[in-house]
Amino acid sequence: MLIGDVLTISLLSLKIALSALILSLPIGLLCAWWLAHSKGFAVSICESILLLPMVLPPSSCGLLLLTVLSPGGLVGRFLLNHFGVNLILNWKAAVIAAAFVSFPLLMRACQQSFAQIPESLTEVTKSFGLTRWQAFRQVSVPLALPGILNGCILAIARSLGEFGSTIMVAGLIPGETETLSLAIYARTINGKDTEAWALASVSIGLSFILLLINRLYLKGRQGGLSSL
Amino acid sequence: MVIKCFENLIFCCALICFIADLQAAPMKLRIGAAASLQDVLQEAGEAWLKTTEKGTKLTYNFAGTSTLVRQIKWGAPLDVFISASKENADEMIQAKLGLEDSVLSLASNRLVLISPMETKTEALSLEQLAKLERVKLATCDEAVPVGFYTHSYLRKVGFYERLKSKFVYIDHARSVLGMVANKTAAFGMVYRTDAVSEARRVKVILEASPTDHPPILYLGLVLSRASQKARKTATSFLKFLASSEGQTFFSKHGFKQPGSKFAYR
Repeated sequence: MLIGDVLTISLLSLKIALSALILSLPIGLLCAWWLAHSKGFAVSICESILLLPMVLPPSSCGLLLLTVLSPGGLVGRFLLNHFGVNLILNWKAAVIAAAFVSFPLLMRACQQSFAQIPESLTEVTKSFGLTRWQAFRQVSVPLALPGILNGCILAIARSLGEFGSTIMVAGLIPGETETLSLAIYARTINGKDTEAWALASVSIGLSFILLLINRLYLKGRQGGLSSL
Repeated sequence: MVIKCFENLIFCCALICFIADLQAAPMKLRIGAAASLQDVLQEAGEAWLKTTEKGTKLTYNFAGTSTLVRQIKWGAPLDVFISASKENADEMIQAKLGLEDSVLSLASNRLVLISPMETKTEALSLEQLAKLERVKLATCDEAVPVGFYTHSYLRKVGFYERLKSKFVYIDHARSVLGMVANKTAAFGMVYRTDAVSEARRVKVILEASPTDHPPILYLGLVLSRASQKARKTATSFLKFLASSEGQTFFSKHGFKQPGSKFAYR
């Protein structure tokens, strides 16, 4: 296998992981902020549902997404008929799958970061006459930024490792959805051990670097806002 | 004291279970077979069990032939290997993992293009398929038999390059079938018998001429890892599959006779 192939596959994985992050970040931030400032049984239920993809078997996530997004499913049919958008078996599907499973990690990190902002500060923003949206944008997000960045790193790492739901909804299409984890799997079962190892080395390296950043960062901020 | 007694009790129970298991140990034949044989082997296996020594059991591991080859090389505990291609059977024998004199040709198959039942077209040429935009054709890597036959066929008829961009790769023939049956992919190339097994959800829109691809041949062989006793049982199982009684199951599921032309030797 050419070095070019390894590069293409690695870059594609990164592209999908970053796109997934862009997709899940706004929703993750809003959910995290809401959860950090709400209490009660209903909130706990919502929180559990939002965290579910983190512990669900990826194949369940895959089935769920497939049922909803495939042209036979409700959302899939609507999107295809009205907008001509197909969200199955293409790179968009890979992005959605990655975003779906990495979302809880991102949200959790952001939520903990928001929760550590002192209550009193929230009170102060109110006395300055800031609206909730302004308080979120100008006070909470900047203060929680280290924790949010940390969550982003974890989400990217998780997206890079995503396999189960990706192979179900996005399939393995060389150059389009063939991410590192899919490529390693396919090459292993098809007996291309050397190629599998070349790709696995890249994935081990990438994941290690991401985790190292995460750890160094936490060390640097000992007991800071962003402990996960 | 009570805990000590309890511990002893559990130990004794475990020991009894272990000994009982050893004594009653029935012959368990472990079969690794091409995914496309799923239905026919289970049915034929049931029939064979009735004719053989009581207590004999069959366990199956259905997967893509290439996956099975990997697993066997990695040391998977299997006694029988049924391959969907001659190449993979040869590979086993060359690696001294299969017993050469145990090889039997069991069946042959055809290659078809399928689509979900709801698709409006009843028949489609490859030319028309190549012109369709935004559709996917589910297939397997060339290391997997069904992928090997599909790619060889498309190359022979000159459509490989034009259709390549539509390929989406999956593990084995049955996964291709599943992908088309649940409408994830609009088209797929599988064996005719796979299409028959899902006749309510998929339809055949093109049948490849058998002269346009290498012959599809299912070969069964006994693995050298099998114990002496297992080898005997395994041979009798394979002979049953190749016998006229065993062949009735294959033809019932739409497989073709292997034919003397394709016989292993």
